Amino acid sequence: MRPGRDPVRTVLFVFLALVLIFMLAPIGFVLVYAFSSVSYAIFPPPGYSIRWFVKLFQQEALFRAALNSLIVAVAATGISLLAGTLAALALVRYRFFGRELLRAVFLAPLIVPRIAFGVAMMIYALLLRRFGGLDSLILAHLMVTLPFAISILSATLVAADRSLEEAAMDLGATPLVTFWKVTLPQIRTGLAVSGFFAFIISWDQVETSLFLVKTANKTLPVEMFYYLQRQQDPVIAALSTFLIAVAVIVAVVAVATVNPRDLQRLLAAGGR
Amino acid sequence: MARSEVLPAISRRGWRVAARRYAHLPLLAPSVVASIAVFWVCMAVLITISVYPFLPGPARFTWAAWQRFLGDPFYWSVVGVTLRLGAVVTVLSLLIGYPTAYAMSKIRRPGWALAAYLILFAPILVSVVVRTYGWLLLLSQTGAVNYVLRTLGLIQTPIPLIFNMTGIVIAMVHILLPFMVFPILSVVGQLTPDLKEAAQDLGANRWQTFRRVTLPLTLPGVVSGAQIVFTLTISAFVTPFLMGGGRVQILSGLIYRDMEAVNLGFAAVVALVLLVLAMAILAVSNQLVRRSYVRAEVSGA
Repeated sequence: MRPGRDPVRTVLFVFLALVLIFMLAPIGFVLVYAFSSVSYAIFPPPGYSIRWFVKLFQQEALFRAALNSLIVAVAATGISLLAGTLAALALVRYRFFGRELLRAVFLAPLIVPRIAFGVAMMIYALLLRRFGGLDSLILAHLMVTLPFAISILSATLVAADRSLEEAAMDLGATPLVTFWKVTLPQIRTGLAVSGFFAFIISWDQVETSLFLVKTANKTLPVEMFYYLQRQQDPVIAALSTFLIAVAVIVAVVAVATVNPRDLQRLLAAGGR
Repeated sequence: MARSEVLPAISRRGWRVAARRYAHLPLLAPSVVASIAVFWVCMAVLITISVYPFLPGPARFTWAAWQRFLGDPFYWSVVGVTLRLGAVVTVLSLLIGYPTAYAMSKIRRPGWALAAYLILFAPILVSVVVRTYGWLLLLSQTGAVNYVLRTLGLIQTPIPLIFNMTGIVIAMVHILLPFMVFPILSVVGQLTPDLKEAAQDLGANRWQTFRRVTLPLTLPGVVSGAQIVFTLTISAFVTPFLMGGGRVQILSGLIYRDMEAVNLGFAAVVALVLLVLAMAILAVSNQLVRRSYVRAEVSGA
């Protein structure tokens, strides 16, 4: 049966097309308004200009925030991958008392609403007199990214071939050499995917960061959020064109390199 | 002579056995330390601060913040609005997401399938703030949606689509739809055609096949998608706050308001109420799933 012959199939695909338009619409309109000649949202824009890009490059606060976001995201991702790999190895390769409890201890932050954790983290940072620094932000983001890294890497390790590791050990390789030469190459995809997720989650984190920031350590999404509350001129749209461009490149690379089935499974598992 | 050669060998082996038995401890240490010292202590701090508010003034034990929340019908109505928002967004996401996942699994050309994936998946990479801003632009009084509706003659005056519940729901469904589609897609993809063929051979029509075969088999995906969407909706802040324009009050907005006012004790209470709601919903839905499986097994036997 060719597509189009079957009415149910046609209806389904028309519906899918509408949903995909719905998914793209707000992003497309942000791109249009970045080139609008007026500061307010009117459709169709009365004219086109690049004045919002000019104004964007005068916004020092946004650039400082972008740099902060980058530092925090790289740090949270790096620590998540290191600590997450070690923890996943222990959870998957060893049998020990309290393993299931420990798994729950690690994954619990996924259940807690992020804004609730943000409140707790702000009060904690205040008590420790670490409020307003990048370190408290990195730790807060780490709590959100680490559970992802542990669960994705555990799933990858379960799928990795254990007999290869045993063979290497029997042939006299030390545990460290075995990990480096045998285990690591097998979990490379898991590492890439969990690193990718950790970075995206940290980069786009508002609720967790919101109460932890002062002027000096604002992250990009938080700064954009405050900017939108002050004024809604298309500076944010101009900035978004760059962010969207990066996202599109990243998405194309991700879809091209990661097996769609893996991606699907990971997205299904990593809802939060 | 022989003895002194054997002994180090044994002790070395003993050391290696011990190293193997306790090798997981150093592996776990960084994550355990980080998780307890940050997350779990944070949770303890949150509970403590809700009864020991230290700002303003010195800390002393009081139920005042809890009494204020639990005793005021306004806060209960905010809980009600939050749960209703969660329910509406979840149901709409399901009604849109299920056929979307089903249609995506039916795409035959790999190129088209990839494009559909990309369009559904890429928005997750764009900041929530940007996507919400896009909806503000689209749905404003002078925005594209009102323009199209007016040009088509469907409405005379622009209808308010932002700064109310409608705007929040539209933007939330957009943001959470991928989280509904992917779990469903991962179970729809595992369906084998033979069960459907068997049902049709036994005389079931399309609707009956869907209702009795496809739907029950895809229920786990539906449930996990619904859980994710519901819990993310009730705890979302940015989108409801910007789309609601301060006119729709939900729990996350209350938290923000009280944090801005440095009302930490009360903010902690609202945060804990939100946490309890999220956990209760997960527990109840897990229970429902387990029971429905048991029932299915019983009726199948």
